[in-house]
Amino acid sequence: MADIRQILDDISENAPVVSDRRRLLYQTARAAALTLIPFGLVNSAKAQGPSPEERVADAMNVLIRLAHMLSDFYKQGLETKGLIPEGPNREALKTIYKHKQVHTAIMWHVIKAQHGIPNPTDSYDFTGGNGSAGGPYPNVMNNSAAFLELAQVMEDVAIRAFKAQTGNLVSDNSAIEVAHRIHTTCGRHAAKIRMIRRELGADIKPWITEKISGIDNEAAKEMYEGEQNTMQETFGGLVDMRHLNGNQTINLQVATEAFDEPVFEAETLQFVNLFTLR
Amino acid sequence: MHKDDNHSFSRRGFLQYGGLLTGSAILGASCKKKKRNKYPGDYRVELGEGDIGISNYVFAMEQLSIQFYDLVLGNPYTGMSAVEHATFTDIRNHEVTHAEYYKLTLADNIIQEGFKTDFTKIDFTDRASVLEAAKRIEDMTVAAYNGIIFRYSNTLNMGVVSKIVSVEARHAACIREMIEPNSFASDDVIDIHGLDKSIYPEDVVTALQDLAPKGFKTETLPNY
Repeated sequence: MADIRQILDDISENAPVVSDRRRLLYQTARAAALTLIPFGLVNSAKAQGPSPEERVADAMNVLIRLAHMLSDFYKQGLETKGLIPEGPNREALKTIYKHKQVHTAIMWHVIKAQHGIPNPTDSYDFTGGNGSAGGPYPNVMNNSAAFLELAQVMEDVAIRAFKAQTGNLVSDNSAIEVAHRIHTTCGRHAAKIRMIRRELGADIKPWITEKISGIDNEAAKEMYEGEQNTMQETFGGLVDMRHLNGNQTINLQVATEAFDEPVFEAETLQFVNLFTLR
Repeated sequence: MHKDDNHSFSRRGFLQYGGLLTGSAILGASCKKKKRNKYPGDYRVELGEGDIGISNYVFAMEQLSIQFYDLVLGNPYTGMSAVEHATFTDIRNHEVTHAEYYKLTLADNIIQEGFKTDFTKIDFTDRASVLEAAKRIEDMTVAAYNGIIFRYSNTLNMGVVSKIVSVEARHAACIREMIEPNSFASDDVIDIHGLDKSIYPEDVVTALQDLAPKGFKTETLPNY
């Protein structure tokens, strides 16, 4: 069982927290429980599925593809002459790029710690045309507004992709913790990109209202499908958040903004594949 | 929610979380017991154990935010712009939604006493004082969620709370931008690994002592 706090210690001289023995013991116990569960609660096909370690590595390998892509996206954007002029917005994008680079490094270590093989970085065509340069985002590298639109889509999708993987990380508490700490950093990035776009005139907020993207592009709009959901899970089944417990404050807008919805693995990979050269 | 209540997970939830229902059935401690103060003379707020304790803890964080933003909106500082007012209103309403969700799912296991806060040190007429407090609360809420979410034994709880925490991060970034442009993810909150803060409950309670002087009994929460 890997302890990611230990990994952080290893890759950093001034890691903030030391590993904790109790944590390790608990994780081992939960992982042991997990290997037993499928026989009792899940059908036998599940029992023959990947081990808890493999599930963590596989989940992180989906997320690392996204992280590689986002890192390269900001790199290309910042390196493209004249696309993002000097000024506060360029500084914001540089901060985001700095974080994306280290996110790929951490994920790489998490996957290695689970004895997985980290997906390498790819080459990308950010028009979404797989190298044809004729994808649904044709102006992404020659128009800053178009670049920021795709930045918003990428950040919102990244946040939502993490949520779909949470269930695959449960055998390793430190993997869950690190994933969430990356994912809230992405939440901050998304909010900032949205605020930049709002200043430039887009009718959006730092959070996602219904499935409104403020982007006039069908491919972008598609990626917000599901965000209009108002039903949340409870052990009694799905419950509509609108006017929950009779609280009239919670209208459609509030109910959708208050939760970021998952984007599932197939959709996430489809999104990444759109931009990946092969 | 809350693990031991029943195991009749909805089919959709079952599929959504990959059919992996964690070790709840095995490791989840029963939390049906009525809360009683095991420590006479200890006036800290009882949270309960297991997943219930965790949800009570994050519910308390949400209540702190709601009480704060109610005061902000009830006594708007001089020069609060329409956008700022709308932002505070949105954030308050999101926190209300989260709190109502926890109320619904905790049902009888909810912390009995109202969560007592102390905002007397905040000057609600002063924009800087309000925003500084808002920043503290939002950053701490994100860090508190990051420091507890992995202790949920049930993936249904973990899944829903995961949907909430990124919205808290959006709030934190937004408030920071209102104070200082481009401070949305400064080095004081994001470390050299690009990780947002994760703060464990006992440290959250200490850090928020001035706003929530009564504190919580964090030792009943699951340990890793």
